[in-house]
Amino acid sequence: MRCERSNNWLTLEFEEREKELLLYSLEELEGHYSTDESTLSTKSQAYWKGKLTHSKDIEKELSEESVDLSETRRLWKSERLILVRKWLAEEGTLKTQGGGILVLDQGEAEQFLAVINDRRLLLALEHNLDEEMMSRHLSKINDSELQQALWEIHFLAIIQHYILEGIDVP
Amino acid sequence: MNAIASPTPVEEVDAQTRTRNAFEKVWGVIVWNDPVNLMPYVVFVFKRVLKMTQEMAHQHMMEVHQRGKSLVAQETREKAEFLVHQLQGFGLQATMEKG
Repeated sequence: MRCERSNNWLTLEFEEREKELLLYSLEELEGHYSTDESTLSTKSQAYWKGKLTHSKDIEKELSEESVDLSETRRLWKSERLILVRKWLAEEGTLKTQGGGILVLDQGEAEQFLAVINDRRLLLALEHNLDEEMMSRHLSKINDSELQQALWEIHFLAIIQHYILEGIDVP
Repeated sequence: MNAIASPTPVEEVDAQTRTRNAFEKVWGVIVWNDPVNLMPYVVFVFKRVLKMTQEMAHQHMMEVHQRGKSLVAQETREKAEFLVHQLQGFGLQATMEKG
């Protein structure tokens, strides 16, 4: 993988295998973002519902006085779905033979970071991953589903590292 | 003579109350440690959402990592709520607490 920055643009170049893995993650996210919230797992529903505070009293106070911000969260999902579909488009540069390229402007690169972070966090939630699990060597994990989830989380982290080195916060 | 009289004690009490109320209205924005978010990603989000300098963002990220949480902002309720949402939008575990 390579990441190059030119003015306000970030070019991500993937080798074929990397591209295939990224496509898999993005397709999974497309499915997730387009799924009606009520049919998602309880953990995923909690992820999108979010919590403003850990305090029950404050939660009550906020729910009485705050505007309903769950709509904002639904908006994130639909905005991210649009972007993921753009990156996955048949005519897109990730769908070509061999390796793939993604060219993102600063704003899109930030969204891309958040999108692949959603995938990492959702996988961790679904598999109840804690600090110890996250640092465990993959060869020491027998459950193949869990091993694959951790592999994907670490792979997406590498992409995040590349992007973070390439983007500049204004 | 009355024109230059000192403020009455009643007004002093009011000022104290106003000050106390003002402080009570400060909400803290707290970011909690989690096993998934990358350290440089957390630094990026702090810079992006909270407009922190690199040094400040790094300092708060380390506090989250080592102590489990960090108070990253103190704001009015509305602003704190906005910041919590922004931080959560990037996948950070953020909450707001009173005082």
